[in-house]
Amino acid sequence: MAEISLNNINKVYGDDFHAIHDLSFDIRDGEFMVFVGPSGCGKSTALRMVAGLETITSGTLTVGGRVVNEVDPKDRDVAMVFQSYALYPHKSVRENIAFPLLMAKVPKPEIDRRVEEAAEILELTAHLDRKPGKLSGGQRQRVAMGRAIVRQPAAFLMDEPLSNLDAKLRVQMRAEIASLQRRLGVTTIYVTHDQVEAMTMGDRVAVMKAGRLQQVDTPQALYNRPDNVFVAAFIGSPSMNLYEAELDGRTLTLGTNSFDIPDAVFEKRPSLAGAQKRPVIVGIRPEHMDDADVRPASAQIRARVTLVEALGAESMVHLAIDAPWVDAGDPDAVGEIGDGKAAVARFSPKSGVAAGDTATVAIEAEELHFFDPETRLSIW
Amino acid sequence: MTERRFVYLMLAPAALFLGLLVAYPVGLLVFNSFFTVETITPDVREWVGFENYIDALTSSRIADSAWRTVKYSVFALGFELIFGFCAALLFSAIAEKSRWHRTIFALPLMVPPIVAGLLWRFLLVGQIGILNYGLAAIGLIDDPGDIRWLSDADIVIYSVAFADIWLTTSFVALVAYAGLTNIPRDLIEAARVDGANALKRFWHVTLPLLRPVIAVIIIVRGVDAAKTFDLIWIQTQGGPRNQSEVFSMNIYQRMVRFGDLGEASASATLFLIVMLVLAGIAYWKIWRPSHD
Ligand SMILES: Nc1ncnc2c1ncn2[C@@H]1O[C@H](COP(=O)(O)OP(=O)(O)OP(=O)(O)O)[C@@H](O)[C@H]1O
Ligand SMILES: [Mg+2]
Repeated sequence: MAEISLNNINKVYGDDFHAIHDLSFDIRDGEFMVFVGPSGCGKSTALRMVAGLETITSGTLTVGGRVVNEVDPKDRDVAMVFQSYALYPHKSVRENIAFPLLMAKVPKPEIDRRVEEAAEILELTAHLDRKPGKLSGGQRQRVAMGRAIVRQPAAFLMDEPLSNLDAKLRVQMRAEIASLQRRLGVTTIYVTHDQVEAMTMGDRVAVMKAGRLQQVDTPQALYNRPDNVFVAAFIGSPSMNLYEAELDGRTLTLGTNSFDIPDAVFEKRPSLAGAQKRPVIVGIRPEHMDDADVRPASAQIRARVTLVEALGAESMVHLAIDAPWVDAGDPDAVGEIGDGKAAVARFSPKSGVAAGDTATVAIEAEELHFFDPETRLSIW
Repeated sequence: MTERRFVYLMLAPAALFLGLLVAYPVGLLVFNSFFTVETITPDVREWVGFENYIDALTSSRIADSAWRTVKYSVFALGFELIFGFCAALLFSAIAEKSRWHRTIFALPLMVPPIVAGLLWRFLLVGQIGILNYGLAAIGLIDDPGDIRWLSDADIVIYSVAFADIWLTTSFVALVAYAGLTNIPRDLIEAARVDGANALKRFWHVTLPLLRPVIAVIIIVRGVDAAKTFDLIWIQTQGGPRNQSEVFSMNIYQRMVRFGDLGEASASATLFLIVMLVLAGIAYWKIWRPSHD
């Protein structure tokens, strides 16, 4: 068990492709750290550098206080779970799990004991003598986990280990991996592009975009205090709605609508105070909007309803808001919201709005997020 | 059913072809092996039952040539596998940059065996063999006449294999390289993280995953080496004192020089059976992925 620390890590592929820019943060001993970000942002590259499978172009990487930049993967004492599971197809489940111990020259009886133990934990005992090819996806995933946990390594490194499973199994394994990690207390880096996985599993989450770290914090803090537009939109599902707006004194103008911002917001974000016709990007989470007929609020806007998705416990209402829509730069987010430009609101199921109506929407104005249109950073 | 009929229809030309070009000659071969037939008068047959087979199985010259064939094949195949795999591993280590090396390395594949045989004959033969001058120049032997590669009865069967090794190591290397590139990179990386060094990765991951490839090489090259004729004939004609006469050459001699078509047919039939059995064993033991 060990803490892992990255200091100004850079990765350049070939001569000119800069995949990772100045990545720096510490992962505490026993912590479950999630790397999340859209496809191609460099999560796998970062993880593979920690594993030693990819060279580090510049910067220092320490595991348990030891600089490991030049240390061979086999001597780094880390275990890795691959997206493809990378099970040895010609070896039985038992031999697969035992392999790292065999390489470490652990005595045979000890290997047997530890393999049995890992199999017990992962409910693989009945399958120990089968080949991976005969197992289901979920079982293969467990074997890959087993191969990692038998070693009692300094760290677990997992690269999208659940992405080949169906949705239901994924939810189940998500909980199992998280609880297994807590039980074993081994420092873990977990790569995913699924922000729900990131939020539910991680002690802390590092959000990356285009090779740069955007923010690293607890899931709750990322949700409540995103540092920039990208993190704001990436964390939370459905995504935060982002529009260009104008703040004049305490009046926010959003397209043809305007309403007053409560004092609580100015206390939380003092630099917003005294704004004069200041352009801002305003962020509204879907859960902070509701049908004004059901739950009125002091801040209200009028918007046309384009689509209603009734989910029973809530209704996802798509709204055409007549202010300029802001692209947060998350390639995965577009499309998730239909035409990409509609706002999504979580209405109470009691709401009677239908597509084509013009609804009065109540906004919890104290929960609004504000960003600078130039820097795209949060205004605090 | 119609689909099945269609399949049969599509197979028919190939089946016909095989029937004409393989089944008929093989049938004739087996048929002839039960008769005494002269090569010059193949219509005149005298039924002798298994006599040809008994003669073949008890002949010491045939037994010797069979044993020599084994020595030749094992020697050639062994070195081809070792050199071929080393080259393939080297190619995959330098990966993309190996394209030119691979192309140049494949050149011997285009050389006809006769030419290769002649070439090696010049390199090895008696007093003029260039190889010995080279060895003498670097001090490995005292005099160019010290090693009589093609006329020393003890080593000639191995010397004639050099040409084979030179000619087909590249085939083994290319097939092995193709096999290597088919191994998922994840598996090798997993083994690295699991603590395996290069040697252990090769032994525990690469080699087992190359089993089918190795089987193909052993079957194709093994059968090929065992039936070699031209390459050896051009170098030694089976000499000295028949010490480089392999099985195929023995059959040829029996048929052409001694004109004994019946006995040659019996030997050939035996040869065919042995090759089939060996290929079968190689197929079952190595190629088939373990099924459990
Ligand atoms: N071996 C390589 N050579 C050149 N470029 C590479 C190499 N591996 C990755 N890249 C590039 O580096 C960037 C980051 O890749 P990486 O695999 O880390 O992304 P990722 O965040 O894991 O994405 P995904 O979610 O799709 O797995 C990508 O733009 C990719 O094209
Ligand atoms: Mg990846």
